[in-house]
Amino acid sequence: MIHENPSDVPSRMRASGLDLFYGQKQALYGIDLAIPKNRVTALIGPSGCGKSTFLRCLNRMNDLIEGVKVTGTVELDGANIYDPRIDTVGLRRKVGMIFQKSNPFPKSIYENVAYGPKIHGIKDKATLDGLVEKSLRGAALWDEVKDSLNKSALALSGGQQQRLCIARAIAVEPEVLLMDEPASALDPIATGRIEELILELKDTFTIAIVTHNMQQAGRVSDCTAFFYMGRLIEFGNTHNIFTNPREKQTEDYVSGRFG
Amino acid sequence: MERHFEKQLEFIMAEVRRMADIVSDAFEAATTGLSERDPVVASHAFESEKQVNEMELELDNQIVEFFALQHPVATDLRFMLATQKVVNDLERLSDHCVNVAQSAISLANLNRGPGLSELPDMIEGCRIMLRDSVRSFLTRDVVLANEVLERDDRVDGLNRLVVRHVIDLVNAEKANIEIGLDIIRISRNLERIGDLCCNFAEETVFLVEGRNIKHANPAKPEGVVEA
Repeated sequence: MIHENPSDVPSRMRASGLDLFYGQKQALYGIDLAIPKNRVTALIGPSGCGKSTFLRCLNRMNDLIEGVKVTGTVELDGANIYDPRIDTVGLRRKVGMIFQKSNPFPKSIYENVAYGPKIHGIKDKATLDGLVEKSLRGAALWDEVKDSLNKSALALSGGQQQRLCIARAIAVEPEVLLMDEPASALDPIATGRIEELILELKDTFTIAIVTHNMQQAGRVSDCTAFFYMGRLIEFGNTHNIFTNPREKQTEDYVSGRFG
Repeated sequence: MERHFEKQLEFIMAEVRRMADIVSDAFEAATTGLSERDPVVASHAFESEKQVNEMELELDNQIVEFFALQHPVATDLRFMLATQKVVNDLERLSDHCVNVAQSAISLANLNRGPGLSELPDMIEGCRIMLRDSVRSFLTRDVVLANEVLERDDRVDGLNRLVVRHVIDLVNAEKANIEIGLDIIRISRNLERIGDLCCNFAEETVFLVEGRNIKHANPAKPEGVVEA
């Protein structure tokens, strides 16, 4: 197995000198990190280290929090997403997000998936039908729900709801998928399905995933970034991070000796 | 608070140390029995073998359990991978000590000594390699591990000299065949002991630096078996 260096892969997103402040408190310090294209990048680190904050910087979700100030740049395919002229709705179509807790709309399965494309102007029923099927297949949910598309999404199991959220995210055909602990609330079987799905999705999308589960990071990711106290301590291919990390802090964290 | 994880690691390390001590004792028994022509001393190597075999099985179980339950990573992962191999090397070292002991007993019963000056040199070389390879692993000393690797060429060279001398011995007198076969057996087993010590030292380098240096010596292509 070849363990490529992340810097040898073309990047889809690139953070440079990224600082973030919640009011007076600085949460991220000069993050330089390139997210490689069509790879899974795991963001790991102890609670409060800034990994989720960093993830949310990648589609400007932090803009929604009062008092947040971001300096530095985050580029998506070379364009700075913090440029004031950037349309954040369009940005979030290109950079979708899946959260820890699945959050389907209180609507039918069909409507959940069709919601995004409709907002972006697709009205044609046949086109929407095709997109819904394609997205549900992409999220490995189609076979389980194809006969109950009009049922409430809230009637699905937790694992199915999370895959529905993935289907909803990919229905608008994004370039990047951000996942914030997408399987932490799921049982091992549902977790396994999500992990398999992540491995399949990376052929089409660039994925960044925050996880507290070291084994999960090892199983699904190609590259791993270790954050500690708002700083990026080490970034490398996942094989090296878990077998022979360069930094002692990384070693202590991944081997459970931290603190 | 010391974690269960650390305790298990320490236990496995202590067992490796104990297993290495038993193998060292077997080596001393076999080689002392050879040099002093004492079959009783040599036979102590057989008792050690049973213990080593049991310890290998027990440690194999411990290592599998550790992987299954603790999911080691980084240095801990390399330690467990390396330990799995050195435990196997120790068991094989023990087997070679038994082979040396068997031939030592055979020669003692013939009441004729080997009479080759290379054998004591080989024994001393292997003794140092065994001691240092185990020490390098237990203390994670890469410098010492490299010294073990460098020492192996001399043991290999002595093995070739022994074979040549045995051929001369047998050519001079056909009745020396029985002794000659035992001497070659001893020499080849000592040479293998040296090789296994090198494996041990290579695992030290992997453990400490994460580098796999196996088959890195171009002077010894794989598949070439030295006499």
